[in-house]
Amino acid sequence: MAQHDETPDKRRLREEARAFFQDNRPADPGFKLPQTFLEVESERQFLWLKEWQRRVHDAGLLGVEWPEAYGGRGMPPGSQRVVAEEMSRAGVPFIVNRIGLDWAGPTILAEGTEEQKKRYLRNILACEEVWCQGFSEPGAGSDLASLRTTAVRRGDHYVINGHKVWTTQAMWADWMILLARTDAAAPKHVGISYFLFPMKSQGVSVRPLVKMTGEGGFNQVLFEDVEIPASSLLGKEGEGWRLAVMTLAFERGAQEGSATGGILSDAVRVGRIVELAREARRDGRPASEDPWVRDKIAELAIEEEALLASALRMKVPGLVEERPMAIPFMGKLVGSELSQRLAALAQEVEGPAAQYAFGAERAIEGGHYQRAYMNSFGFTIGGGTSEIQRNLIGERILGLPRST
Amino acid sequence: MTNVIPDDFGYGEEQAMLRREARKVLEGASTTAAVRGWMETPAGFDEGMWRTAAEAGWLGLAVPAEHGGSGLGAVSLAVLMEEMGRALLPLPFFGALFTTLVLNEAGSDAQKAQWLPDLAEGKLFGAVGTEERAGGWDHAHVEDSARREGDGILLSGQKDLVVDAPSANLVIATFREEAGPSLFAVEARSPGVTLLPDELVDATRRSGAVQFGGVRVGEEARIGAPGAALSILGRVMPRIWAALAAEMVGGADRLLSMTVEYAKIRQQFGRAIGAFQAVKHPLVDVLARVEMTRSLVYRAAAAIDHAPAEGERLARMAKAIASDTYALAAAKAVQLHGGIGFTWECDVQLYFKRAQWSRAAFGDAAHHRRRIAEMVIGG
Repeated sequence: MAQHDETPDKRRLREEARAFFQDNRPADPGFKLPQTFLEVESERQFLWLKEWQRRVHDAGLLGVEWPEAYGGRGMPPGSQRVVAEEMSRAGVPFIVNRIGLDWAGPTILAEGTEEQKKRYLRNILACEEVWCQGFSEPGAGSDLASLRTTAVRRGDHYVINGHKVWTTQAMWADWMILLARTDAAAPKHVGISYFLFPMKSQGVSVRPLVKMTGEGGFNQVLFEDVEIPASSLLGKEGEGWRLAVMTLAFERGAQEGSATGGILSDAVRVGRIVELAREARRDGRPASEDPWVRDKIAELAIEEEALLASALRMKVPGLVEERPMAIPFMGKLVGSELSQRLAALAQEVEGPAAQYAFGAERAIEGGHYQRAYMNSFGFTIGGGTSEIQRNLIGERILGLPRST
Repeated sequence: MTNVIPDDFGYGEEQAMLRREARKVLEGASTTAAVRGWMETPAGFDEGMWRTAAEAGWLGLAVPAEHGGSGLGAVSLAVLMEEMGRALLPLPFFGALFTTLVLNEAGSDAQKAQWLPDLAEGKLFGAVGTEERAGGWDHAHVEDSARREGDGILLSGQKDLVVDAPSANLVIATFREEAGPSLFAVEARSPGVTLLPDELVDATRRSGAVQFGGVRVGEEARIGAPGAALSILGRVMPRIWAALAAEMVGGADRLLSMTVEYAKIRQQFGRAIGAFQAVKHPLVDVLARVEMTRSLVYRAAAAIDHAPAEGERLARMAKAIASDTYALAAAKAVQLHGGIGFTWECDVQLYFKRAQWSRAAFGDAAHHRRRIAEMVIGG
């Protein structure tokens, strides 16, 4: 990276970002940091990461594509990716308010009123307010449109009742992008509305769930006669499904406008597995000399390179004219499955040491890869499972008939 | 040379036009019915199509302007190859391209002037032999010898699986000298040259073993310096790998389209089979591989043109992933076409066999991954 023929603006931004992350790498906090925003479980982790995001924003490196009026820098599309690449290169911690930056923010930017944009966007960037996403429900799974949480209009208020689940960061969040049914009689895609929901309201309870890694981070959220002002609505009543599809497209990386520009989880990259292979032993020799290990590393290095090349190619219209939306639609599916295979390979490279638990004293890098493998399922299941992604891509990109 | 890979892959209006024209010509001419006819002939290709390719400027694409070509780069070549692969075009194009690239890279002024214009016009058919049976794909394994005798040089040995050798009138091959392997150009009709045609898994291709039984040549037949063959090939091969990988992407993409169309039409259990996830999901996996592979092919091609230091790694990656992708697309195409996919009359089998040939040509996936591992890991 950084070898592309960049515009002078982007090159300057890259240099600026590189210098900042080099000079401002945060000191070791003295406690374990989570691997991604999905696993922030303790208050000290959260407060530390919040402070880190604030510093990155103060340096002008977050929301660089958002308008200046809302705390951004108004730079052209692709600029945030430059910063993301430099963050990845520097190996600094992730940005914690990911749902705000990448999903809620872009949707508000596209569909919010001027008042809503002014109210929310700057606070998202500076991590003054953290967001969570209330889309999933216990009975609905990947079939979002069958959600049952209700919002009933009473004068200048809506009253919310229902139950959301797998809600990442709900315990820290100040706001939630909430989907609720405003018209029970309408067809299931039509009766849904999209709210900017204040989490600190009366009647909201958040119950943490524990992941198989033993980490917290996601939750159930229950709503019992929660009253919110009618101005919490984003867009018009009944437009929720259209807006949700937009948010999901941001979530799947199918749109520009992301404030973090991230594409691959940084928990495991080929470069790190190469380092690991030099340290780990097989038959008394470095695993990096084992032909099978070498072949597998080469295979995944090729795929990692192909994914990065695809992110570049999708911006060249002449090279994607056959299926212009194929790469954006595939981004989440391909990226999450590659991350998962990388984490699996890292464990194989570890050899016998892969038996140690995450956190065990004798584990390599504290069991980073065992944990990364488990956590990788958060990305192949969350935000629409890989199976749902395949249906979507088969139907939207290849034009195959709908599955029943 | 800018030594950076451009974000737009160096893909502009020139390449877009080349693609439009190539697609138009090939969709009209290189239908599978035509391909089936051509592959049954002894030569394996149509002379009219060869003239069309020459007139369209395809044969001169890699030939510099001062020798009668257009001198376009690896990205343009990838565009053309992708379209040829899509149409399964049978032509002795690879041999001509390989010959052109070697001459461009290391030919003397006299050699270039003698051969490049004829290559661009399609008057000269070329082939390059780099592999011997015992060496696999290793160009450094050269037992064939170039021995000094009097004021000449005697070439002896055999090159295997030389692409387009049956139609070639100029053959370039590697021979070991004291200084190391060197490249020599030999008229195919020279006394002592014997062609043993191959029977290939892909009937739309032709290759052969070329025997050199003490062929006498002069110093002027050597391309580049004595012992320079490996460094010359080191600069040429990334272009060959990227070009073949591009052709493979075109073929894999065509297989995907054919199978998707079939899955939309073919009914089973009262529904189009494409509605079943057991059919839909593998097709999406093929799509994902095809798109990833295409990205890497164009990135490799752009690197060859603009940042050659990156060219070898990326071109090997492109050939490796293309080998797996084409094989996957072919296997899924046959499987999802069901019984009909297993028949001779189904066009899928033509591409299936092209995929089989292609994965084994110029290094299979495992071969290239071994070299990539050396670059990524070291040792």
